[in-house]
Order: sequence, then structure tokens, then C-alpha cells
Amino acid sequence: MIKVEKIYKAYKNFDVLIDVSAQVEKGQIVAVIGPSGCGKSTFLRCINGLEKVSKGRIYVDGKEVTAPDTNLNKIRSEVGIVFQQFNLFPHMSVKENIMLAPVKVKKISKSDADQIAMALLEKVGMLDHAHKYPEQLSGGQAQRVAIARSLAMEPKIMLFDEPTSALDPKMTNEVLDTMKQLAQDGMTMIVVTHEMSFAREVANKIMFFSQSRLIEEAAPDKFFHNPQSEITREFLRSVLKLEV
Amino acid sequence: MSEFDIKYIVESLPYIAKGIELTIFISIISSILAFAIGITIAFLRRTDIKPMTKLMALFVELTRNTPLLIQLYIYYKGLPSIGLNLSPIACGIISLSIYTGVFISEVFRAGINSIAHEQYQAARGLGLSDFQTFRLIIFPQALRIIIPPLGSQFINLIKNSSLVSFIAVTDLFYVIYKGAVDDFMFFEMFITGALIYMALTGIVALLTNIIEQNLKISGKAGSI
Repeated sequence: MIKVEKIYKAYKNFDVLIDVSAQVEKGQIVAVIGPSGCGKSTFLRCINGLEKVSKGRIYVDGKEVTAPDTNLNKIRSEVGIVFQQFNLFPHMSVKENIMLAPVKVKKISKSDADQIAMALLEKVGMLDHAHKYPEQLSGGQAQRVAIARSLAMEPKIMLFDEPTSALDPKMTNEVLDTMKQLAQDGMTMIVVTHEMSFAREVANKIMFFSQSRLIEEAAPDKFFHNPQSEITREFLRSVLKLEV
Repeated sequence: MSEFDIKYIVESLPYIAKGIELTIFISIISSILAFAIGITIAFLRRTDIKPMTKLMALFVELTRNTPLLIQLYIYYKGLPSIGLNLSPIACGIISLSIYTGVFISEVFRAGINSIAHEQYQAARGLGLSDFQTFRLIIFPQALRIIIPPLGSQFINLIKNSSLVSFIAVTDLFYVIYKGAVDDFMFFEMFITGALIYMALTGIVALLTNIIEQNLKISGKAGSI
């Protein structure tokens, strides 16, 4: 579903991603973890072209994201992204936030978009808040609306960029529950996260980044209990206090 | 100059009214054009087309760093030499619109830059085009922030419109000045003029406030 071939990304003199190759299959839940500044968020944003790679190729569903003549808007409408800071549009109501892209990008009718929005709000447990504005929502509520907003485009893949890092534990659970539900529905997901419990319980693949490189890729069980790289072991020891 | 001659002012009113009419006409047309010019320059300056952004930046600097009065004469005397014979009123409107438009573009630019980059990413992430993102996400939010400074620009425009009297446009300042020097009614005319300009700019200030209140985003506490 997603194929990343030897990508590099540099800002000025700083290498953010070095020689990263990876593959994600349909229906896979991938947790991307690693210390801050390791390049994991940039990796995520390269997949839908929000960041341009300096070198290498990325394919999503057979289409090359990195080709100069690619219609990125088309790819982005098929690859949803959810951000740490929710990034809802403050001048639109919850429902308008969700209806915007289906109406403006997919050109579906307002009444159809309205139905989609209401169905999604019900799915994420926010039906009662349809007419509120983002400012009136808690962080957890805002993030669930942001997820619904992405889902409204019926994406094939969902990218999550530290979706719970700005939330307290209670709100984190609200959002994680929504994400688990999505995973059960069979959505292909790539989640940049610090939530190790989510990585362990929900993901079926872990990608570990450190110092701009993809160090290790493995199933959660193997990753947490039998990591291959010394860098991974060091990370797990220091961050999670795991005996590995 | 003995005492304040109210009678003279009253008798001059029909004459003054003609000036007010012209000043309002010039101000309204110029405001609309300036607004359009301002948005256009601001939008062009944030595109990826380097020569365009450079050209616009140069145009902004040239315009805002030279006196409006000089620009007024350049358009008035310069346009006929390239075969464009426009009325003094048209020249006045052109120079006021461009001058104010450049300042408005700077106001817009500040407003646009104040919108978090994340808003842009969120919109592009949903598949919206660059222009859709500007029109539907960035611009509506920037507009709310810049209403007060935008109002100041329109107030400046009304006051600056008095300069068109230099190219023989019979606007409010022209009739005031003429009465003052022809009839030696300096105080009467200049104070009357000041009061009328204040009334005109006061209306703009009032409108700005009303628009600001109406555009307030629901649920946002305090200012927009």
C-alpha cells in the first residue's frame, strides 16, 4: 500500500531523514516511535507530500508521491492526516470542519456531506457537538473531530502525528479508543506516537527511528522483547525502563 | 479676522456639500480598488513565483516610501505621456487606490503570516488546493485579525484624498481652501472642514467596529 524507497530529507545543513526504506501493507497498523527530533514526524509528512523529500521515492497505492507531476491534492484526499495540535479550522463549526473537504475537494452535495458528517460525528461520539466551534471543545473532543474530518474524505490510509501528545490521560484514552475502533474497521494506519501501550496493543508493526535513520522494524512482541539493534535496546531501557 | 462667521458657513453649505459629495465618491471607489489591490499583492507575494514576489516587494517599497503627492503628480502628468488621458478625478482615484492598496497588502501580509502554519498544513492535508486554502482557511481568519488596522487604512485614505485638490479636483478640501483664501474665512472654513472630515472618518470607525463585532467567531472569548 505504501512503499518508501531510500528517502533522504535535509533542511539546510541538517539531515532529518537518512536512507529510509519501508513498506506498509493494506490494513496494517504501524506505530512509529523514537526520541524527539529523530525524524519520525517528517517521515510521516513525506508520505502525503506535506514535506518534500530531498532524494528517494515514495509510492502510495501504486502512485508515486515524489514524482514532480503527481497530483498531490488527489493523493492527500486519499491519505488522511491528524495532527498533534488538532488544527481544526476555528472559524467553522464542528460540522462545517468535517463537510469542507468533501464539498470542496470531492465536490459532493452539501446535503450528502451533511449526512456523512453526522454519521462520522456519531462514530467518534461527538454528535451532540455538531454546532459548536472548535474553541468550545476540550482537546480530546477536538482531536476526535479532527479524526472525523479526515475520515470524511474516505481515505485509504490514515496518518497520525502524535495525536495524543497534547492531551491529558483521560482525553488520551478517548482518542485512543477512537483509533482502536478505526483499526478494527480495517483502516491502514501509521501512527507516530509516544504511547507505548498503544504501540504494543494495537499496532502490528513498530518502526523505530533514531538520529534520522530507521533503526528497526518489527512486530511489537519481537520489538519490545527481543530487539535486534543496540540503539533500540538502549532506547527501551532508558525510556521504558525495560529489561532488554 | 474678528469673530467666527457662522452665517458665512451656512451660506457656503451648498458649495461645501458638492465637495463632500466628490470626496465621498473618490473615497468609496478608491477604498474598493485599494482593497482589491491589497489582496492581490498579498496573494502574489506568497506564491512560489520568485520574480513575481520580488517585483511585488519592489513595488510595495517604491510606493510606500514616496509621498502620495509626488505619486499623484506622476500619474497626473505621466499617464498622458504614454497616451492615457484620464480626468483628474480618475488620476486621483488611481493614485489613492494604489497607495492605500500597498499599505493594505502589508496589513494583509501581517494577518496572513499570523495564521499558524498548521492551519495551512491541515487544509492541504485534506486535499484542498493552495488557492482554496487561501480563500477558505487563511483569508477568512486573517480578515478577522486585520479589521481594525484595515479600518485605519480606510480612514487614512479619506484624509489623504484631500491631496487630489492639488490636481484641480474640486473635492472637500478644494472648496474649503478656496473659501478660506478667496474670502479670508480661514478659521470658519478650516474648522468646518476638519469637522466634516472627522464625521466621515467617524463613520468608517463605526463601521469597522460593527463589522468586527459581526465577524467574531462564536465561542471565542474576548477579542477575535
